[in-house]
Amino acid sequence: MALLRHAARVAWKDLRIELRSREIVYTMAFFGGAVPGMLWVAIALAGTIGLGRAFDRERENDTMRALLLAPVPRLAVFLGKAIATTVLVLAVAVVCAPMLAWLLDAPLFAYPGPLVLVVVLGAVGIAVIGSVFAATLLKVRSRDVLLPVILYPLLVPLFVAGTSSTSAQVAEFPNLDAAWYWIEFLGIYDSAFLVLSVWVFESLVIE
Amino acid sequence: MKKLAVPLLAVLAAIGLAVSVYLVFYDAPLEYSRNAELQLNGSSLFFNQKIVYFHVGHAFWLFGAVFVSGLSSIAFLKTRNPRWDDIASASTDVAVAFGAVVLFTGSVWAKAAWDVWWKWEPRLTMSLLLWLILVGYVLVRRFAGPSADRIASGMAIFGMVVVPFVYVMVGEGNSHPQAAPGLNPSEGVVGKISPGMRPALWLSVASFLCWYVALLISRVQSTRAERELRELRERGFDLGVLS
Amino acid sequence: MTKKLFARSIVLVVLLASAAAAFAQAGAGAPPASPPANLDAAREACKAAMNADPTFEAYIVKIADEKAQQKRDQDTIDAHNDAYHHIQKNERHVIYAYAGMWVVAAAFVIFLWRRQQALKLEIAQLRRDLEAAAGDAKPAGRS
Repeated sequence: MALLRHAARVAWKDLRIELRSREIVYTMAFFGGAVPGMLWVAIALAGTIGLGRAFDRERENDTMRALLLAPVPRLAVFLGKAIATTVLVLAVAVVCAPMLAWLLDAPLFAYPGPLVLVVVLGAVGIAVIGSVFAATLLKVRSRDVLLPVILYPLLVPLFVAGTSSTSAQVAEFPNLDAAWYWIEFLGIYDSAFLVLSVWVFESLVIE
Repeated sequence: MKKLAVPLLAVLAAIGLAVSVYLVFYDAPLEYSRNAELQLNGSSLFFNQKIVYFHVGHAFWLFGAVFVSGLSSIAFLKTRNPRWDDIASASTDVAVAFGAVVLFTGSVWAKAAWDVWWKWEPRLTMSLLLWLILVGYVLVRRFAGPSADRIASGMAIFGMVVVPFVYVMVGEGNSHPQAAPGLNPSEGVVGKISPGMRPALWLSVASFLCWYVALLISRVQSTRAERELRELRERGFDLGVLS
Repeated sequence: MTKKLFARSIVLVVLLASAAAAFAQAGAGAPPASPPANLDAAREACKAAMNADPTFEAYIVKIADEKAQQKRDQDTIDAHNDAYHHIQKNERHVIYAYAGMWVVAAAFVIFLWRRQQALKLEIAQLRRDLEAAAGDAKPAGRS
């Protein structure tokens, strides 16, 4: 429980800075523009930009070391970063989804339950996998090139699953079986990588 | 014994491959589509099915290599013994080569079956992604500087976890109703293959195992040599021979 | 064979027709007032003559059968050609796949080999240098 409290504190720290600057939210919302594809492009961009920002800020001021040296488990730092990124991605999705539905007149909210689930699972996946590698690459000089090289192949399955599920819901003849199949896929993918991340984070991030 | 391992395995692989080539072309039956519609379209695979034997032989040990590399990365992170890291990096290098063969033969197969070289279909996309992860691993090793081994280990472990998603879940969600079993590049082949084809297939899988292990060992040796060179260089710097 | 039969039947038809025409003309005599009646009569006579000869019908049927057989043979030849091209195409694909496999394997082996040789050379060189340097500095240089 203490772990979660510490994680919440790290997350809150990031989100408060974000609320003060609002920079990311604006940038990310800008990308909200056709329906399942657009929604997921927005989520993907929100995720990568959000991640970059969350970790770049720490590097610019060299505060990551302070964060890692803080008397909390490293896991708390990881979870905090992941939660903050998830919340940011979800914020963008909350802005983008109604806008997309309204602008393009799409029945995006025909099945609110699966839609919310799929977006949340997508956001969590991006944040978790992203946080692990953004943190390990923090000190590497060619980070800006290597992060997408590492991250995209691992994240594309999430986007494929997310887009497949969303388009199954939005289609003229919705196929709920397919939608749920991909939600299941996302759930298993996320939980596998969450467990793995929690397990390897500490041995990967060494200052 | 250690010196003999690589040539011995290579010879075994060569013999196995020669025999399996014989079995593939002279023993295994020709593939006839069991799907009447496909036969009418003339898109039955016939002779093309012979691609499968070597495609599968490589794919098998592509996954094997990814698992070896993932598991030895875990061992490396736990023990910090660089020997494990050598194995992981060697195995990933071999996996990149095997992956290239799998993607290439798969693409030729797609051309024969679908008349397109590539289709953005979930299973193929995911196979490409797995290969990209491996290539990413190699790039990280080259360019990530001093902490490359840790980051690369992380990638190897994540890559290992991606494999089941690529070949189990995606395959189930996307069956192509118009395709006959075993003919579709995006479907599982091994379970659906006819009994006459099995000896050739398994022999080719076995010979590629020998080939994989031979490559792995020689690649590990070269990594060891690299490490030795690095140590010698350090000593050279210490002694002032190098500057 | 069939051409001959065809020619023969045409000759037969022409002969019969001209015979009937000659007969009609002779029968009609001088007044050529109503050619339609003459033509009709000629046609009738021709038909009757054709029907009277039982082999004629058999000829026609035989010719039709032979033509159909020819068409079938051509179709079979076309199908064989098609299948031949198909298999040619197949072979090409299998060759592509195998060539690709060998190229990748050869490239990888060459890559490994060259790397190993370069490393070996460099290690040997460094060793020699180090040994020389160690010999200068302190006699107990381990390598």
